[in-house]
Amino acid sequence: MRRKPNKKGGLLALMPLYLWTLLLVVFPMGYVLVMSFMTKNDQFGVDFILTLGNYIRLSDPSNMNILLNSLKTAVFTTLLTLLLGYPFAFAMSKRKKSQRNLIMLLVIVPFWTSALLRTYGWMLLMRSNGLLNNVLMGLHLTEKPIQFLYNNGAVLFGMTYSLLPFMILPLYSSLEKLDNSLLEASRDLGAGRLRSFLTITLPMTLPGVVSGCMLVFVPSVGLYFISDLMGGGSGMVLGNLISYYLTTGRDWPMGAALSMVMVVLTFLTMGVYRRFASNDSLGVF
Amino acid sequence: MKRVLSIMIALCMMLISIPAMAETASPEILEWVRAQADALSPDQKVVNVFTWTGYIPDEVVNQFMDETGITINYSPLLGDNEEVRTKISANPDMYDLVICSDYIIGTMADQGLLHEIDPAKIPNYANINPGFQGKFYDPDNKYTIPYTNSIPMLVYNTATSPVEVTGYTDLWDSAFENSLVCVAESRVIIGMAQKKLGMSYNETDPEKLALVKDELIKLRPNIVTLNSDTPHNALISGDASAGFMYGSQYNAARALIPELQNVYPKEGLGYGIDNIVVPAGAQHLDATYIFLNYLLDGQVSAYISSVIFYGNCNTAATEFLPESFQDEALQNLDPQMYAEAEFIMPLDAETQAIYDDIWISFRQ
Repeated sequence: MRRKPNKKGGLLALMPLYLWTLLLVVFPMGYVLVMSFMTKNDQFGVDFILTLGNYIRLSDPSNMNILLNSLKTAVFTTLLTLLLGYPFAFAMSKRKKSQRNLIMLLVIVPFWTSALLRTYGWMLLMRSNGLLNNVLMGLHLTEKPIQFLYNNGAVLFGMTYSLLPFMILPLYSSLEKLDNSLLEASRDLGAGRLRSFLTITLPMTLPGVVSGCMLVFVPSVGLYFISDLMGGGSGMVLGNLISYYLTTGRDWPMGAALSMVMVVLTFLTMGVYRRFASNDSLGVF
Repeated sequence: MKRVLSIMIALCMMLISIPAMAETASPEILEWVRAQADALSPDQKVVNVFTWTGYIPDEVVNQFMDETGITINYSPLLGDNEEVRTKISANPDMYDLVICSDYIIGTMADQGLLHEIDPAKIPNYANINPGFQGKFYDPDNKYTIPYTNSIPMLVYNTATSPVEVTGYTDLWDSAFENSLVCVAESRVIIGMAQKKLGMSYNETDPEKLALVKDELIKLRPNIVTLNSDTPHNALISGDASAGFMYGSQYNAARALIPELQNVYPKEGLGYGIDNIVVPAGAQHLDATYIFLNYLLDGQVSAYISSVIFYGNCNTAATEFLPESFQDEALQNLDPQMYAEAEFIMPLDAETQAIYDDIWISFRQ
């Protein structure tokens, strides 16, 4: 008789997984979900009165505009990082191993300091009497300082800068795995460089593209300190709105409802990711 | 966070800009605290303080501990006033001395969370500038000792500003296009439009608030940046030529840019007072009273102001304040305006939603 696998032991071994998921994902998410149906009271707290009001308020023009603006910023950031990241990762994957490791290190090094600090660093360089303007004026390329900061372009720049590594890393990981013999075969069969790129490289690395886009798109909706600092309060993103309602607005239920929007957005992008990457796990997720 | 950061910045500024400090405390008060502390039993020689990091400067705390042998446990407050209320209602006996802002004190007093302060135990109580007492959160001065005040003020760079600024209305001038910086605080900024239109900071009429929204949106093209922690940086960097911010921020910027001039808006002042309170469950009252009296010493108070850059509430401190701290604009201010300065009060949920909408519309 074959011995049955010990179900009890298996369950026990999996317990930490369930426990942590429950504690760190299900409970907090459940709390936010429940909170999003509560009513804010006149003091500083929340009343246990169920309402859909917070979700209805999402459609207020002021909230809607910020949601749309946030999505726009996220789409542009994703496209920009993709345009910059793909050639970078492509070139990187063609280097010798030692060089690749060095480049990888350089991509990762900025993470060793806080993103906030790096943003302040850019602000010092870009402000009216900053290094960049001083150099431009010193070379007589411009008379008056150019205002680099405090506009939507600055937000886009800051986001792209901060999130570029998240695009490069999955792209590189899929480009590196690309089987070179496939490319050789396509070239042998008469395809040009462009054709073999379009028919082999691009489809094969599509999961990397999708997962890179996801890693960039989702955070760019929430990186509110960049729009706060570099955008100077213009170009608010969803994260700014959530932060406003949770602090100054003292409206936790509304903040929770907006957070749920963010969660839904994440699930949607996850759905797209799964569609494209279902058969080919990249080790990123 | 605003406070944490601006205090940190003030401290950094101090390291580079203040050469030699005056004595940090008068000899009389040192003698007094020593004598009082000697009478305490060893287990009473503790004060548990809770407020923003650096809000009571280290030098002040250390000197007091050295002189008296009383240990001060300084718990840093990293969040906002809301955190104070939450912590004190959860642990009424955890802290002996807390510094927090006006409106939250009213709520805490209503909930019975505060100890009634006995002026008889504080010889320096008379040093308090009565102009900062008797406010809405504590009309009978039962629970509070004013620690700092901050009136948001207009600031402009006399060298680069296209217009001489006298009031909020000037900020709407199209000459200021893309060159104003303001604190990113919704009520303070909405308040500029309210005062321009001659309304209260705490207006609740939806029709009037609709006018405020339209007015505020007209200001948008002039704003180059909104910043809650360091608005003065845009003045220092030259990205802005005028703005609206707190005195501590103005003082920090002026240390670097002498051309900056502050103006108290003629349309009306807004204002905030941070107060010292003692939680109802405080366990070390005797030591706390000694520390309170020490903090109210003119020289100690002046020293604190010179470090944290906030407005001073102590009449005995005036003569000890550093020269750079003398605020001519404030001294020339019509006392009537000062008396009519208005507090920003909490709103009911429905009105708050209108304010939310104004602010969010302004920010896109």
